[in-house]
Amino acid sequence: MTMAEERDNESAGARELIAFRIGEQEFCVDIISVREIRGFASATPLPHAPHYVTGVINLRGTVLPIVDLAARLGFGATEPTARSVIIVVRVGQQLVGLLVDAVSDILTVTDDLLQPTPDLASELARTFVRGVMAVEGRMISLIAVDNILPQMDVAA
Amino acid sequence: MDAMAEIRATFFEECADGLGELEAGLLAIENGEADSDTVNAVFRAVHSIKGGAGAFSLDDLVHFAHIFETTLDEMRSNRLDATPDVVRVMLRAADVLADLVAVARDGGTVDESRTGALIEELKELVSPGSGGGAAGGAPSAAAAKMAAVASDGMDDLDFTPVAIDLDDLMVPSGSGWRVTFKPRPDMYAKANEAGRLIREVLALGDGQVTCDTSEIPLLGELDPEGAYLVWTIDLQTEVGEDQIREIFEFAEMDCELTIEALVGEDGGDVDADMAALLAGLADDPTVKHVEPDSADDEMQAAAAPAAAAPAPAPRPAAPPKPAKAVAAAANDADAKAAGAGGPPATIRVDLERVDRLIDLVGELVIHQVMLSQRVTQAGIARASDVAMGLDELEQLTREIQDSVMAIRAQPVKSVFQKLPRLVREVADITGKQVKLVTEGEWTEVDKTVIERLSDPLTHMIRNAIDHGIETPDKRLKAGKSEEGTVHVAAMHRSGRIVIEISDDGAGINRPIVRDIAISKGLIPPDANLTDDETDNLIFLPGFSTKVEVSELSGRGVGMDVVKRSIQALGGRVSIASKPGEGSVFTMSLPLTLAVLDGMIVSAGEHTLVVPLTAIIETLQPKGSEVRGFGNDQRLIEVRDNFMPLVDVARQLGYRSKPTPATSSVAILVETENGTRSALLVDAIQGQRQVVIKSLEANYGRVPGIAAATILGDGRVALILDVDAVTATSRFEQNYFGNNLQAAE
Repeated sequence: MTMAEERDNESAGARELIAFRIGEQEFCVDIISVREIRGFASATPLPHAPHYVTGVINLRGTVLPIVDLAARLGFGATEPTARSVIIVVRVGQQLVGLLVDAVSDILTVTDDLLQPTPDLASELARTFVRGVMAVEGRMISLIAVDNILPQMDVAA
Repeated sequence: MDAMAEIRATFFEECADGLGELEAGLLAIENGEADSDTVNAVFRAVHSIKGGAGAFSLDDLVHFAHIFETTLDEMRSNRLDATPDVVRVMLRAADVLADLVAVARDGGTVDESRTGALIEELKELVSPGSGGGAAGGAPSAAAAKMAAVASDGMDDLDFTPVAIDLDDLMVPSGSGWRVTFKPRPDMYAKANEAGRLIREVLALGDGQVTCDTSEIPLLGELDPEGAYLVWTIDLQTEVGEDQIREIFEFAEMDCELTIEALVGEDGGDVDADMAALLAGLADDPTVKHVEPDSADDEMQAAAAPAAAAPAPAPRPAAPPKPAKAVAAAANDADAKAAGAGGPPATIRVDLERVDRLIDLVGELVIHQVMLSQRVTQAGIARASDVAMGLDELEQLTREIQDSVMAIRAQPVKSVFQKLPRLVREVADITGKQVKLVTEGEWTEVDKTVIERLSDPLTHMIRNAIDHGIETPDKRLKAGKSEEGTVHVAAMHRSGRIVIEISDDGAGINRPIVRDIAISKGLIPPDANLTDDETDNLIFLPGFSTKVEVSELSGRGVGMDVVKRSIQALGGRVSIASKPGEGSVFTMSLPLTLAVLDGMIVSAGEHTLVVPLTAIIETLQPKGSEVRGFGNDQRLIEVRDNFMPLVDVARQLGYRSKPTPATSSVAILVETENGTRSALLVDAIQGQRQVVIKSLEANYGRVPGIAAATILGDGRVALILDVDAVTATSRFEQNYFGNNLQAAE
């Protein structure tokens, strides 16, 4: 991409997204909210936690809760493998790890590419999916990380 | 926080320091340990509070501090003797001052009549007879002068007048600075030119330059690249020392530079009092706080005069050197007080940064342990260089951990220095005479522990005076001195801090305690209790020994609350009492809340930590000791007592079937409210100190879990909340009980 193109993108509200896979589907989150990406480490389960909270891991001395994004979106629990990945995102003042199958891409897109979430999506998916976009023939859903831990806000 | 709020916060922090010094100083005076340094320190403390308060327009505070200061000044100049009566008034004035500071900080109202009464008392000390406020008798010359000063202060309720005085003193009109400048060869070698520097100095004002050529050697010995000239510049200027120093900024390392205040003609008749005041200001902590090097920062430069009150904006806040030069001659004692025996240099650091450091060091320790384990696994011999290097690393990391923990440690002095006032007030209200003796106030403990120590300690001391110490006539009858003593001592003992509160009062009246416990239904009438057990009854919820709730101890808070708050800190409290001789309350607390002694256990394939403070004993249940109870509950029999057996793995949802009791371990625990339960776990792995990590920071509260920690293998383990786990168990018992009833 040339400098001129980059400038154009910025002026059109370009943003960078991190795309990842859960099963056969592709999702993405805004790169601004991503703190780091790391391999899966086995988590310590939390008692009385919602089913989509896998547990907590040690992130350099901080206790980091892991959310199974597939379970959160209503797809059923992920069986973590050695290739699973944790995307550490900041939600408000908290850090949360999202368990996904694999990170696929870093995309630079403009806001006008984003289409509203289609009506037929399930209620659960609509809560977390801000919109969908077509990139190079793939459909990628943009995840809004703010709502990933709603219950915890109440509990905290 | 915006800059102003920050300065305000700093001011109040320093007020707290000042009030502490004030009280400590007055107490020393009361005990006859006063020398001129102490009196000066007390004066300075009030003075800096007044100065700071003026900057924030805290008029009430300024007004009171001013009158207080006036009285203290009389004492300082030996016109007022520090008799016990005088010191008592001053101690109460210190209390009022503390109240006024608290009100200024947190809002609220002060007792106007009390403030007013003390103002009259303070004035009375300065000029006896004229106290009543209105027209007094014929005041002495000194009193008239003081009254004039006082009324001056009251008219505009501002501290600015002093600021102007200081200003005049700092740079008396027609005076300036004497700059002595002696370049070293290095300065010339770096292409700095003396002439240019001197010209820049002269640009600041009218100056006269003299050159001392006496050091120039004979031609034969002259080093052509040497430096032999010394210039003296007498500069008539309004600018501060800083601006002159700035000129020499790049040459300072390579020359000898002295800048002294030049006292002009009218500088000579500076009032000695004012000079003393100036010395006080130069030593004033608020001034120290904004020392010159930070003044170039615009924000801080603006902040400096606000915090230090006296200096006008563009001028650097009281350059210490000239201030001392002027003051040294006038008031030697003051300068000495500041120079010698001062507290060690300190910095204020955001607690968050320290905590981050502690986190990182905790990580370091974990990684070091992991590394050692891996080296052992790799089959490297113990005697090899690698293993030995690791041993050294381990020692080093432990040392770093200890040092970092020590940063958070503070002496308990900050809590102890509030006690004299408390004792005075409680003694006043109860009409008793009480002397407080403290010991070990430099014992250090973690900041969080200190913060939470204050309430239980306050309450226990109130209790000791209210219930323990007898009234003067009762004491006389018992053959004791009229004045009772409360002794508070802090010490380190086996990795914990122990605080003992002892009194020489009547001791616990066991028959009465027993009667009350029976009448309140806390124990059965035929209970057979040892003395020790009877004494401990006062810690039971709902117990209060006074028939009528007294104003002091009976704020709906009993010793049970004290015990609970101490236990919440991971501490213990105990009592020993001898009838007629007094009681000793002992509380023992962990040195830090950042680490915890825990028992590492496994339950349903998971590792958990049980806080050691809750554990009484562990035992291997026999089949005959465990009984089914109700629908799904089990009880365990321990020495003829039945207590609930809490299946931890089931409770936390790790396992759906009941854990077989006989192949497991029961841990007997006592909860904060004194009830006992047994926790059933699969096995005990060991005992160790763990670093406490918050779950709430990134997640939220988890029922039954107090916090988390990171084990040596880098995995997160959860710390059990013993109270919650046993309480949930009770709740479920009720729940099942209700279900059964419904079924019937």
